[in-house]
Amino acid sequence: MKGLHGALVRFRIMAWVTGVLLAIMSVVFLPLKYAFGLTEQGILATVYAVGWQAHGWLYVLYVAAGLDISFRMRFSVVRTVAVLLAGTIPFASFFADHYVAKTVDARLATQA
Amino acid sequence: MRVNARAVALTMLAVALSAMCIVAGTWQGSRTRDILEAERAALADPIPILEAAGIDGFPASSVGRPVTATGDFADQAQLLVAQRELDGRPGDWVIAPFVVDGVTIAVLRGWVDSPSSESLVVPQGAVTLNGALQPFEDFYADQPLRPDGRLVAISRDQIERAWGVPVVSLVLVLAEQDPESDAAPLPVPLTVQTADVPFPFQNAAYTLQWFVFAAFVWVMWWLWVVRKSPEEGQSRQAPSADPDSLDA
Repeated sequence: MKGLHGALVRFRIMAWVTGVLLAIMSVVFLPLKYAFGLTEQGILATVYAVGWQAHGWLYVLYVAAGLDISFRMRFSVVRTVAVLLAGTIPFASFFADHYVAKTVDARLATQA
Repeated sequence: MRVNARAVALTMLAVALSAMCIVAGTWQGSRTRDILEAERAALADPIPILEAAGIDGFPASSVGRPVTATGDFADQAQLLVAQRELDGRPGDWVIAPFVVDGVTIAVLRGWVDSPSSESLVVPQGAVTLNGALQPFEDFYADQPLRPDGRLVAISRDQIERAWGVPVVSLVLVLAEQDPESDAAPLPVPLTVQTADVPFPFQNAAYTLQWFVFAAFVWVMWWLWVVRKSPEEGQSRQAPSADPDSLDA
């Protein structure tokens, strides 16, 4: 299983970065916009736009890392798609990260 | 690659998913264009000049913006900007003071072939001007007047000094005057054509990202359908970690 560890590290980094940003955007900035209307102008408008921009591109990297680790682990198509979609649902990527890490660690342990 | 029901099903799924991504990306692309067009259309509608710019400054979207101004030409002398060609003919530009609601505006009426042209005469009484806003040529702000009293450039400092009043922070480049004068300077083209509209980066990025996801669908298809198959014999020896594997 050459490279499996590196693939896991890449996926975990992307899962956390994408997940934390998505959590901040949905827990802090969506209420700011839709409940308080504070993202219309000024610094908050810029942060809001840049935040979603960043999430869009980080999610592209998350999908790439997720495809890599899922293929190395020979996940099923359904399982793989679930891992990939987890990056679009707030907090779901933390569960995906936990599941993937647990599964990879178990695989590495049996091969050690 | 062994052709089997799973491979056929996954290939059809990949076609459907990537088609959806392409449709979504194309839609975001047309959203991007629509937003730009709507922003440009909103700016193409003339508004009263004092809503677009003031003495103190102007928003970036006002540069190139069509405006109307209803008021009177003021008594201060018109100024000529020397050495301005129109279609290759030498001549001058005419800058006239125009007052709207007590605020003075520098109006670039147009081009004349000589400083004694009869078209220099300004109309008396209230007129409505249509035109677009342009920045002052302030990179020449410190240039002194020429010996003949003409300006080297449309310098806000020089104009305010000559007229003794502050002027609005953008120049109104005249396109139409109502009522028209019998003889008038020829209208000059705008230097800065379009107003600055914000580009919808978010929609443009979504467009690209949907196309990237369409490509990812085929990467996944290649990995799961094409590459996985030859190893199937080997991987069967080790039990799959995936209980719900579609391979079953």
